[in-house]
Amino acid sequence: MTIRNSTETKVRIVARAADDLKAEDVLVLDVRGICTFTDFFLIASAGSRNQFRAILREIRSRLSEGGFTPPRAEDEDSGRWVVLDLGDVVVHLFDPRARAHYNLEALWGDAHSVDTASFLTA
Amino acid sequence: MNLWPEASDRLVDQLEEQLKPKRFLHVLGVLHTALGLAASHGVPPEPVAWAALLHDMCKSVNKRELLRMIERDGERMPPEDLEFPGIWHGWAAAGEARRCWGIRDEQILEAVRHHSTGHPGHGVLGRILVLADHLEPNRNSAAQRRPILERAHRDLDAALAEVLESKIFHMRAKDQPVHPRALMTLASLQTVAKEA
Ligand SMILES: [Fe+2]
Ligand SMILES: [Fe+2]
Repeated sequence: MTIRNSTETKVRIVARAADDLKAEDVLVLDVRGICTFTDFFLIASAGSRNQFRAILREIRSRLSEGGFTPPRAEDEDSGRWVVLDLGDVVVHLFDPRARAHYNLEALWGDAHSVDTASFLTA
Repeated sequence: MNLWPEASDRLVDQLEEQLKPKRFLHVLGVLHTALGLAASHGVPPEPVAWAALLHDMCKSVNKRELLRMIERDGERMPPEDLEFPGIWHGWAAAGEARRCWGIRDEQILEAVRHHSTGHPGHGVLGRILVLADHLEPNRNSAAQRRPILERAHRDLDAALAEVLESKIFHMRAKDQPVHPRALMTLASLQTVAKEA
């Protein structure tokens, strides 16, 4: 998989932050060649409101540490569906019900999912 | 819903009274463009006209009042919309449409609710309204609008994708958060186009 370096770094940072805070079902979708406005979707679920906030906070702080500007906060209190629009990477954090409701995976099916584990190992 | 056209005349009068003149002209422009698109795509004009006339009827209402109306009318605005006050007027308008104008057609109501962002599950009416909202004559010069308007008459989805794309890039450039539903509407349009 060849990705522009900073894109890959972003996916890695977000995937690891989500995984470290025990987000459920972390999924990376490769939408290059399909969507013009981004290259990757990263989807994750949080079981509780507190976990939801904690994951968002961790993603933000690690992006800053990595030299990226995290996008302006939006609706972190809804604890339902938050999108972090990083341009080449769009991060969706859901609560499980909203995730099932919006069912983004169904839009692309398995065809575009990327081996998430490859982003979690060094 | 047999109130056409007498009720729609009353609605036009009410809009003229309540909206700023520029906004009123915008609504008439949307009506004009939406009816044209409806004709090209074989969609009955009445629901399209209702959606066009109703979509910005609460545009002059302040934020606090909008939330109160949404609550009062039992519009189930999802929490992710709370951070985007710019789209609340669509939810309030759908509530008004049900309460004051007896509109029960969910296609009309959904089109009105989601006219600022689009919706991945939008029917043809919803797509026409998003497009007409952007392509109505008062927005841009005829020369600027013509290419995309012509596309919209041939291919609704392609034109809608283009409009949403430019909107999203524009907002990103200004560092404004893009509504998740706008992103997902574009993603679904582009995915369908790719896999068709
Ligand atoms: Fe509007
Ligand atoms: Fe409008």
